[in-house]
Amino acid sequence: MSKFIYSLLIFSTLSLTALAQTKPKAAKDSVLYHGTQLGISLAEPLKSFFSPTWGSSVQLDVNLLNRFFPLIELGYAQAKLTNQDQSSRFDTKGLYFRAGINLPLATEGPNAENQFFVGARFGFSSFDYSISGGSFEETYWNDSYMRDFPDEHARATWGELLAGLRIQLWGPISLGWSGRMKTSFKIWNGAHSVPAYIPGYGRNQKPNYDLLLHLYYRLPDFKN
Amino acid sequence: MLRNATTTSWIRNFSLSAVLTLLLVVLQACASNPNCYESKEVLVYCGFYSGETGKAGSIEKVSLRGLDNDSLIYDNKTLSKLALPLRSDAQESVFIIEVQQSSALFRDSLRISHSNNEWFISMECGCIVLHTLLDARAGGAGFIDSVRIVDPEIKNAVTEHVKIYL
Repeated sequence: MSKFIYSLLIFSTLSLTALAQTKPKAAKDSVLYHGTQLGISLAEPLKSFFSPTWGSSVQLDVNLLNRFFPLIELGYAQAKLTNQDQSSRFDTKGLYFRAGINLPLATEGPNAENQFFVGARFGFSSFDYSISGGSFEETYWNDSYMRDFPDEHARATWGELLAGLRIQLWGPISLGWSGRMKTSFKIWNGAHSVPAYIPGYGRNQKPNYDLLLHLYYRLPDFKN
Repeated sequence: MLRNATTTSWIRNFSLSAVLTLLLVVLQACASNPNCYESKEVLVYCGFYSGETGKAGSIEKVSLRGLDNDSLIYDNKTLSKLALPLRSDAQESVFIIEVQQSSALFRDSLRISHSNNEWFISMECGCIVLHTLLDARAGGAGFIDSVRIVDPEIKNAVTEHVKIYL
């Protein structure tokens, strides 16, 4: 199912690449620095209204040669998950960090204000979490019982491959989305558990998918 | 004019592709399965070996129960290995093994010292108790020659942990 979905995604993004071959293209000049943009995640905060997981993030990217957009991102995520019969609950909130690069495949505007891009991220999070109502089944020696794990701590690293679009709305303001495929590299589990959710990565499954929407503001150029 | 047309095209592409991708992500979320596919059986697997040759073997008419527990784990079975549950409320699990041969009943015990770690697998699966073997020895007055731990980590996987030499 996942392979089918992402084949569709790749097909759609390739189609969009063809659509994006519109003129005029951004000039490939020799100017190294084309500005810095501050991005704020929009979709993740809205999730709090309909999803047990939500958060927000701020990213800073630098436009180099209109071709390379290295960036760093700091985010916060929170999750309150329950199992199907609501007997067990997982709670976490924590910060995460991402660093990576966007590479435009098609651009428009003198500072690549409109662009279709692919990119990669490396993510890290160190976070606390708690589990309540962990159920142990009856065994040969013991009856069934419940137990809480209130003070668990874990760390995780992961990678992301993404494709997305960014368009200029007005002046320094632009809007962008990106579809992401994530995979965890290394997870340092808690003392008594595997974390069900990792801030910045999402549910602890491999691979994982996400759709992010960012609002960007191009910071003023302080050069005279 | 050209700039406006180009920007409009970008906006159209943005909207179309965002909606398509959102749909795909929602489909992906719906495809996730809430069932548990991980084994919750945490057992110590003990193989029988000849004390003289070291070769694996089996014994007939084996009955086995835990000490202070009337319920039989094995009842008059032919076995080449044992799968034993350990106590999660104590640091030692003791098993009584009986072998019926002809009209004689041979009895011995297997005493396993271990540490316990309560482990949450996932929201769907719940919890299990993992163990680390510290020591394993026979009662000393029966048919078991010696006992050796080969893998002390007891998880929810089928692998040989202890060798019992007869």
